[in-house]
Amino acid sequence: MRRRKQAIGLITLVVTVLAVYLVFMYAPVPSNVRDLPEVQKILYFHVSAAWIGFLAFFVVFVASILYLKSRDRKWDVLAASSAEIGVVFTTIVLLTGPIWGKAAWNAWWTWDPRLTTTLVLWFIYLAYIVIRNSAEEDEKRARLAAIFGIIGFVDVPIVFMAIRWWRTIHPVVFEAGQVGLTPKMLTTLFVSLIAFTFLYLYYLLLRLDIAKAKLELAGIKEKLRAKF
Amino acid sequence: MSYLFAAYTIIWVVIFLYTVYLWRKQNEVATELEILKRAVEDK
Repeated sequence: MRRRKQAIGLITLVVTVLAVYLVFMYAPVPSNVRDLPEVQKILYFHVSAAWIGFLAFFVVFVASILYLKSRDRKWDVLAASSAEIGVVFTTIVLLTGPIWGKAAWNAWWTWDPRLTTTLVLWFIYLAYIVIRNSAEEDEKRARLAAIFGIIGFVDVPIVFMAIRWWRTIHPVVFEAGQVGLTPKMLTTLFVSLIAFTFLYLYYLLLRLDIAKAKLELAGIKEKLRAKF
Repeated sequence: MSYLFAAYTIIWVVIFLYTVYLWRKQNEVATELEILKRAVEDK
């Protein structure tokens, strides 16, 4: 477990350094953007962070279903860990998006469908974390969090489809049958996505380690309490 | 350029803070677990 975590940590570092190199040295500045074209480079890590948010919340969704079916504590721990990581990456999306928005639209924030649904998503999983930290007994709290984790996921496809369903000023990078990026830009985005996926895996292993140790700690404390 | 710099600075700060938070948390829990295990063995 320790070895696997170290290996993933090392791969994450290497791929992230490569991604940074590609973003700043390899990816071209788009020629079809008139104002501040270099700001488009925010897209690589902004989109990657959004992808990890979706992936993390999908893991919460699946793990929550498996927990409700089996009542196995490991699924609850996995859901809790993934939700926290998802919130961290969605925070990155919500912080970097407005910076791009200020440069491109001259506004930090607009109540655009994509921006609004992403903010709602962030609040949903923030509420999920609050539920997890509530004073309820373990079993009840895990059940409640699992139900919330399943219902909350409904917003993920809405966020993804928001720019396709409604009129929006948010750019569409991937549209059916076409990609709005040059091959070099696409390579950079692809490597950034891989880097962030490894970062997610590394965080997940760390977070699961902590959760496992906490459970073991609680077990020992419980035994000691029963003894004395 | 300053927008690009600001965006990537924020990304690295968030990643750095969360990584340090997880490392510290892991060390804290591991240390507490070790102490407790040793205490139980000593009894």
